[in-house]
Amino acid sequence: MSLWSLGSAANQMFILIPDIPDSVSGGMLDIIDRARINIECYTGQTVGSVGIAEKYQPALLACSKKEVLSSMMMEGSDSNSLKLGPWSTKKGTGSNVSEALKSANAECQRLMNCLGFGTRMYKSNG
Amino acid sequence: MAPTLNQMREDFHNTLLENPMTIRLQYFDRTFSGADYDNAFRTQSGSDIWATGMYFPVGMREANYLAQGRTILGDSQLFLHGSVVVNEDLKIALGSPIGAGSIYSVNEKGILDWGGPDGTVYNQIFIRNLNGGSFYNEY
Repeated sequence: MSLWSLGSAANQMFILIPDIPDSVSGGMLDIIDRARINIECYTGQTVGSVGIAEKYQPALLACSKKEVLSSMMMEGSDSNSLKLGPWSTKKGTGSNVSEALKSANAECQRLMNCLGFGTRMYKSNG
Repeated sequence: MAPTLNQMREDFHNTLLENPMTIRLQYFDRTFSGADYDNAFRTQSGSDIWATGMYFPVGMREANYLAQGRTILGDSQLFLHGSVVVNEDLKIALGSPIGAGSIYSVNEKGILDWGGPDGTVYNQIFIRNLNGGSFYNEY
């Protein structure tokens, strides 16, 4: 492994998640950047958008994956399943994307916890 | 809330991404002229269009359409996004690069338009292999 940029993380996302719709893949760098900011807020450490250290990479991937899958769930019609003629598609609870989103959520939280929560010290007025 | 045309098209597009096949579409005009008044000359209209579709062989699942005469066993069927213009004067080539013997014509009454009053979500097209890769009287 080596130091990553946001673009390196985006490449990994396209390997991890097949068939990302155009409307989601177009905003991939923004999605990953938001996940990076989220990690910075949670850990209190600076991750940066270039030269991303190895220790942040798994959490960055997991949290970006969660965001991408979440956006994919919002794609298209707001229905659990759709059937029109011989074509049908299944979405919502029980679909592959929905199941993957559940595990990505848990994975993101676990890896963020591994990085540690940034402590904040305040002086009380008491 | 009922899904809109665009939402259903998005869903269909996502299905296309899972089973994509590159398809070349060539549109043709029919003209009656010259010595052969009984048969239309066909000439290509416009340039080639490339699209993504899903390809399946025709089987007994299509029994209704077999009975209606839209297709026969041995034909194939294509599913194309509703934004792709289709008609019966269409020559379809499958794959990129196009394999030998992969040129098809659209069957008569072979286009099924699946959608609603707002427009077409997708087209199901029954196609038949074109021997030699050309229409009769194609110029």
